[in-house]
Amino acid sequence: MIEFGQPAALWTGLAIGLPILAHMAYRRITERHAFPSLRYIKPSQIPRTGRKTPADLLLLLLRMLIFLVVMILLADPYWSGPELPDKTASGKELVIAVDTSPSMGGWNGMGEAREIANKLIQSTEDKTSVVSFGKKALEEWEAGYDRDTLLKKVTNLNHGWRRGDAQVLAERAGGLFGENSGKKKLVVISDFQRSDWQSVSLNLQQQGVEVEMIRVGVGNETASRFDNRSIVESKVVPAGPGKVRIWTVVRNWSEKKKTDSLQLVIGGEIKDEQKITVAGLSSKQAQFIVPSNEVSQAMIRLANDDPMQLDNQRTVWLKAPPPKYFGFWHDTTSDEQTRSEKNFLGTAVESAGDSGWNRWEEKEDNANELRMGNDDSKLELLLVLGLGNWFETEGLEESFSTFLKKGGVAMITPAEIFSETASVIRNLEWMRFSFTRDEITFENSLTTFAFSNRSCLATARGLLSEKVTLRSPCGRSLPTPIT
Amino acid sequence: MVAATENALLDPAHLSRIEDFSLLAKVVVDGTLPGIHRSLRQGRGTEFFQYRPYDPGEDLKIIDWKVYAKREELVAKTFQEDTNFNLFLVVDTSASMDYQGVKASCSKLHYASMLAACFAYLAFRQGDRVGLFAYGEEVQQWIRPKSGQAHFGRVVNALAQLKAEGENKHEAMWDQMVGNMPGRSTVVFLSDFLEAEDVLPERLRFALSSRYEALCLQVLDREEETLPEGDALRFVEMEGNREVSTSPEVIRSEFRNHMAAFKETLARNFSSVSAEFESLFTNQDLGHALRKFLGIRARNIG
Repeated sequence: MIEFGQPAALWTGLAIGLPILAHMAYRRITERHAFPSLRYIKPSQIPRTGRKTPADLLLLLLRMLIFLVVMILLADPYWSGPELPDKTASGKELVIAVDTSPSMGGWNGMGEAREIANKLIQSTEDKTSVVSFGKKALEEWEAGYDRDTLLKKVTNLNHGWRRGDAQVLAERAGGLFGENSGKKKLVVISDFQRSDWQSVSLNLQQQGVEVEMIRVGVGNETASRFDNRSIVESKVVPAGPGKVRIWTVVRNWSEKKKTDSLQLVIGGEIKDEQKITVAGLSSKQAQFIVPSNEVSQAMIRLANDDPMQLDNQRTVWLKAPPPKYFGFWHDTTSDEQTRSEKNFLGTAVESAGDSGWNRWEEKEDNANELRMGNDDSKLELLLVLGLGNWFETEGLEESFSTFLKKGGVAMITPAEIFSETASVIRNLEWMRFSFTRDEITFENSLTTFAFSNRSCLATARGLLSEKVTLRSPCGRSLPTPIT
Repeated sequence: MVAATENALLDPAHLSRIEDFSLLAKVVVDGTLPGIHRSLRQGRGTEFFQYRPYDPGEDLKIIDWKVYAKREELVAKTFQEDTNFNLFLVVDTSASMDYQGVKASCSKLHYASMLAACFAYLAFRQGDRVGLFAYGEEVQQWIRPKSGQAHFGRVVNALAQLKAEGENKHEAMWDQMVGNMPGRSTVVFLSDFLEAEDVLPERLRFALSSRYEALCLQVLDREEETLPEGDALRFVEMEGNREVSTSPEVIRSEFRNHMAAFKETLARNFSSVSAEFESLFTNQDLGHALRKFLGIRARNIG
């Protein structure tokens, strides 16, 4: 039935009299006529033409139609649904609130919610209404819709993709019931993710509403992931000049063997596709070879109809990431030993990469910038050679600390006189440690220290502890990383 | 049959198609008034009329010796005697004379020009002198009266070139012309005389003199008496910029009464200065005006 949001606007329909009046008052437009003398030509009223042509009547009807349309539009018409029963009537009312936040897409939460909601609708004798929340709005299907309609709406419920907000339900819950209803019960079906519910207060007892919370989406892995296949891993590795290999692992969570289509999607188009058959409760690898110089990003997608689609795709980068940078700090008085050590370690770090995907590149400028106090210097690894008094003298501890706090990794080699190094470490209170000299004989005049896993009792404290590695310049085995 | 033929020759619907006024005048005059131009006096004059046998005792100067040399026959030349009659045609060429109603075959000025050409031809055939004064806001033509075929041609050419334009300046123009009118003239004034029933009769007071005759021929379009057809028209003045919207249906009766009263006043005022007045419509044949003119002419000659 059509209804009007602004019924007062219907009064504008009176203006329909205007075209009618205009039609009645229509007078012919006068034609110009040159005349020798107007001496005896007196003005007179142009008579209303009594003759109406069909065009005049059509014009009148058109004008009336336009007025009617404008009037109806101003009145804001809308089509109202079937009349709902009086919400204020007494009786029991049940409101089923279904969470449709994105998290309900996992662990078959949405499937369980539909099942539970359906059972409740079918089993209850109370007046039932369904609301869904989690998309920043509350969608309501009020009590009064027939059971079949409610069941159909529940069946079509699906989770959204925006962060859920259960506060909407909390604020509106009280108003979902009729004013004079007898018993009021609210059943909330949700996975009750902490992020959605941590600040929600659903205290409706004061309003006389009984609340029941049913948690879904937390069943055991096997049961919840029944019939699910997912991409558990996807990596890109070099595959020769100008090519990369996208290496993917697909897992079948069901007990039965499943065959799916694994697609390589680039730029929204399926560029490659292959069938992948995975035995029950097992995984299988698949690969795609792609030219790396043409595209920078690709998506691996598992095309199937399993109930959990979120884990069916992975996006990977095809181009090699930029190299990681490393640099050196050492005493400015460069001696032969320091240069030798620097060359050795520089070569070691660079060769740690694969000259393709994972690359290390020495950036002396970046290391110097960091040394000058530029905290934004791009450096992933800092090698401090011959840590000694010069470190304290230059006041580098602050820059060093900031570098480590930002996630940088540092490697320190001891000075020629290890006591200097130890002194610096102690003074800066990076860690508490003690060491014992190994049985190894000093090899040369240089004092070297070897550490073994057994003998190193190094412990660390503070934020620096996990970032500092002590390594012998002669390449002996390292102590276990300090955590 | 004759009448039908005569009416056809005088019908302005036919005559308006003749662009050559000289020819038009001949068609009208020679075709409908055959006896008129014969009533001539033979005698001394500048226009050769005919040969006749020489009567012994007559002046030898009248013998055409060339004819004698050829035919050895004595014949005398006779000449059309020039009259002392001056015909002065005055034509109003103001903008209102350009009006042509829906059913009219020509404008008022064209009708007046046709009449003037016929009068000029009549005068020429009768040995009268013909002059022309045409004015509107300014003098368009001023030809002093003369006789002869060449002069007649000049007059009709001038008539053909008249254009209706501007506002009429009756008083100024007549003041300019009256002082230069030849003695003993018949003035034929062709105009619509609109809004001039008080002004013009004063200017024609010379007609009170026995030396002058004045014939005022009012040329109107039928619609100026009955108003154009239409439920609603916006009338625009031709000699001004006034406009009036009205329904002709509504004002027609009153308008006719006013026009009739206006014509009566005009006739009365012209009569008071001994000027003859006749009102013509552009769909009327030219015979009536011609007969009127001839009547005046006959009184003068007689």
